Amino acid sequence: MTTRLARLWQPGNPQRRVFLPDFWLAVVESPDVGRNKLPRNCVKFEVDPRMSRHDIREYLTKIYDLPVRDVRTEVQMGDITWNSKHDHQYKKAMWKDDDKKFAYVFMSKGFTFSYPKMFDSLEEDLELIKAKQQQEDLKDKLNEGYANRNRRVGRFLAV
Amino acid sequence: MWRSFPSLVSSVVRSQNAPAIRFSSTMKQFFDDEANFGKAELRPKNRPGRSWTEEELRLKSNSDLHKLWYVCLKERNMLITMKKAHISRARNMPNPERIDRVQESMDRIEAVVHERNDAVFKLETGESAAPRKRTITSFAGFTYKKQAIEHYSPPEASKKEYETPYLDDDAYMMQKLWQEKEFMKNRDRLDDEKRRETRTEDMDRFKRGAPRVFNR
Repeated sequence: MTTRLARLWQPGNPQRRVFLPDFWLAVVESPDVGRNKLPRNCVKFEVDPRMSRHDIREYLTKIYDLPVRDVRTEVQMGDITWNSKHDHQYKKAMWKDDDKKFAYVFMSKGFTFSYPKMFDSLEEDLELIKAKQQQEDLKDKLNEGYANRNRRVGRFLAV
Repeated sequence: MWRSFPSLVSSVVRSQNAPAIRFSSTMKQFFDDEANFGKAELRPKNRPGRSWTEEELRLKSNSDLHKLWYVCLKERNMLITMKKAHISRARNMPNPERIDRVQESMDRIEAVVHERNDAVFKLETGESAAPRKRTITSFAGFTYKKQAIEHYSPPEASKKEYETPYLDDDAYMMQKLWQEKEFMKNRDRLDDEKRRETRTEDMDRFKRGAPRVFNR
């Protein structure tokens, strides 16, 4: 943000405005079944950990024009890597992942959202499929001229 | 300006019982084009070119820069969404350099906006728009620059931090010892460099030290 340092007070005490927000925000997949399933009008976002509920609401309504009704946030602690996990007395933390912040945004009544299926049609890479096809094609052609594999043995014997 | 940008479609969308199709099209902004789903790499036509350069951005008006910032912001959100989706399936995202391109553009927009802001400030107040720095001497005698912070009331006499030309006893001793330590570290570094220069490949190969000459 260009206006990183907000003034403590200005004449007239105007509302604090951000002209170039640099918060990021991403839609995350949530399970279709089970107890973590979300209602259809709810979207799960992973948000910049600096964002507050109010920020998320303003961000989504003003930039994305989404009909936000309620915002609930959850902070998930990052995993800690221990030097020896089971040694409860002397274990030391070697590394801790960054904390993540998730927002469950409830939209107004008519809203429905389901996470698009990106990998269903092409679960394998296109290139892998192509390579497999090539292997299949080559199977008969390899060494065809030298080893007479495709000969039909019983052809003249009328078996 | 902030309010005017997204208000293009606002009045239509905010009505309560709008059809669901309209909302899903809004959520599509968070996802890549469906033609790119499951691709290892984008088609050559869709591949990212380059980021905006500062020279190009300087030609743009303030409102154009403001709009471009939001375009970049949305694009970056979309790319982050796609990246997370791919990571959760243990796959590689197609053309991840797109994120870097967008980030570079955003950094440059910030730089250009700062330039303009700076020019206005220098004209009108004679000071730079960058946050003010104060020179401060710490209790250990180190003098460094620190960003100035606003306060509601002036500081108490003992609380305010200054740059002090003459250090008190402890700080003076600390500085003397620090300088000595730095000097010795530098001397050892130079020694090591010299020793490494004289060392030949054979010495490494046969695990032999350099010949020691005592009566030089």
